[in-house]
Amino acid sequence: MMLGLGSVEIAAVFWLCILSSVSCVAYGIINWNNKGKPDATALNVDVKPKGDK
Amino acid sequence: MVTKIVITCIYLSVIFYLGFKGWQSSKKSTDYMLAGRQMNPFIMAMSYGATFVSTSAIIGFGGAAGLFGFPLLWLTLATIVVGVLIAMVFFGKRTRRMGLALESHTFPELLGRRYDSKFIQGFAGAIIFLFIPVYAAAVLIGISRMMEISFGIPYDISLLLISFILAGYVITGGMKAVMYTDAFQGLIMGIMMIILIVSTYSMLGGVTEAHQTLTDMVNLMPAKLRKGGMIGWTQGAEFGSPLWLVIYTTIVYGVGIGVLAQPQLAVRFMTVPSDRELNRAVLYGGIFIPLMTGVAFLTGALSNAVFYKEAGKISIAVAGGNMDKIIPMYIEQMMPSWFSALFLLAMLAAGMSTLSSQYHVGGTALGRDFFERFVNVPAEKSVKITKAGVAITLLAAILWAWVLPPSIIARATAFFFGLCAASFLPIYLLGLYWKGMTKKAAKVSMVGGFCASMFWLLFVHAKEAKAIGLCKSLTGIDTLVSSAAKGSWIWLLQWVDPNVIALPVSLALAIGVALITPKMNKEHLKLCWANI
Repeated sequence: MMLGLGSVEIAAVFWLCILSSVSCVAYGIINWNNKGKPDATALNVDVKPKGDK
Repeated sequence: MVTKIVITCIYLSVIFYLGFKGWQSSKKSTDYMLAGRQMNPFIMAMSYGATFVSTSAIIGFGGAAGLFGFPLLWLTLATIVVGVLIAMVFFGKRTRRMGLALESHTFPELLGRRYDSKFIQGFAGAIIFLFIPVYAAAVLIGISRMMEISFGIPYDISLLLISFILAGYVITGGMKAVMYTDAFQGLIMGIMMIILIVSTYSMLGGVTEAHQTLTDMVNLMPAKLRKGGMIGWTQGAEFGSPLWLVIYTTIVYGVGIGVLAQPQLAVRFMTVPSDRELNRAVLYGGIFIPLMTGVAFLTGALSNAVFYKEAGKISIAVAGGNMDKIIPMYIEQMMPSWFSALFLLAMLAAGMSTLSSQYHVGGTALGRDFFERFVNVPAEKSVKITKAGVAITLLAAILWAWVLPPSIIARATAFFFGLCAASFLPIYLLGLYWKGMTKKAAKVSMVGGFCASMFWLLFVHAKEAKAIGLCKSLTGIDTLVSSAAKGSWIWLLQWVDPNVIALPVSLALAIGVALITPKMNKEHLKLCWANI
């Protein structure tokens, strides 16, 4: 578990880096085709030019 | 030398081809600023990563790991969790959806339209345009020095040559050219980093053996660093010591959190067509980012063991006391010669991918956010003004690179990250998630965060305050706290990163003012949330 590292804190962060990277990969695989809610039609918003009072 | 030239020529041919492809398919302002909102997730993730990780992150922070060792892995963890997972999932998806509903083309435009304020868009655009050339200059100096050393091209010529190449594809091809070339450059960087980490661990006999060798070298930690609080390369620093503060507040907190409010990164979330692309980008980013920061920091730290085994000296001694030379010396002396030629290319790619995005975001900030929205220049001229903006950002970076001494330039990355986090992060986060956030609160938080960050940089944080010298010329002392009793908490403040102070100030202002000022128009909020 310590992999030759000199403190628990450093060994923990080493493993956490690997774990977080694996989590990102897992998240990407699980949600590979998840498009979420379909986009509402793109709105052509005209923000009031003098809206900044 | 011939190998280096041939490899560089092939590399530049591919870059120009990709730049040409970008130019060919850019017809509208959405193409030029947001790659038509149709970008592939792999290209988006690689472009995001390659923009995020520059040469200074690998050479500079890798060198810092040579000095401080494994604690820098906390920054790697922050870049994965905050820079990839939180950024893409919690910021990216909402940014894309709200950006589409509000027809935003840039990060300041998203903020400006969310708060229905031209001032916010103009002020944010001005901050970006004024300060991004300083950050770009740091990257430009790094790769120009490398060209000087590797090819013998004089520094000034290298500076102009690289700028000229970048101008060629960023000005003409816009966001598509920037992202295509970024992805190619990211790929080169990824391959080189895999070779680097595998070779380093092999040289030391495997993962555990390599770590153990470094752990056993605890007594070789230089006395000066030990005095500052360092225990060993794999043991970390003593809690609360000056070096602990440097590592955890500046390097980890400052850069790790700062990534969330980087305009050149946030704008990439708006380049993809749906949430699916962002989900896939989490996978690619989750591999690419640790390959960059993780490998650079591990190699930096382990270089001590390799150098000690081969030359009987630790890294900083081999590098003659200059931390920035640790990684280049390691590549030059410990890796095969074919690798050093290719690694040079990877570093050139890392610098160019960051620079191209900096120039592009600087250009859109000036053209779209400042002139078109704030000064009311007609929209038809948007792309032309943005192109002129890119050219001006590029020239400003060259000027900074000539004018500023390296000591100030080296601080530029942390400086820009900190400034963006304090000015934009609270209003960006609250703007995406809290309907109760008001226009006045956004203005107060952005300006307040910017001022707090600048005050801390100029008058308290020793690294910048000493280098800039404004505090000394006004008060006669390096920082406002350096005359406090040595060892007291006030004295220690000079090592606390501006973000530790400015970001909470900015956040408190945002929430506090929002609670006492009139809520925004319900119709406007409905519009902002229409696609969420």
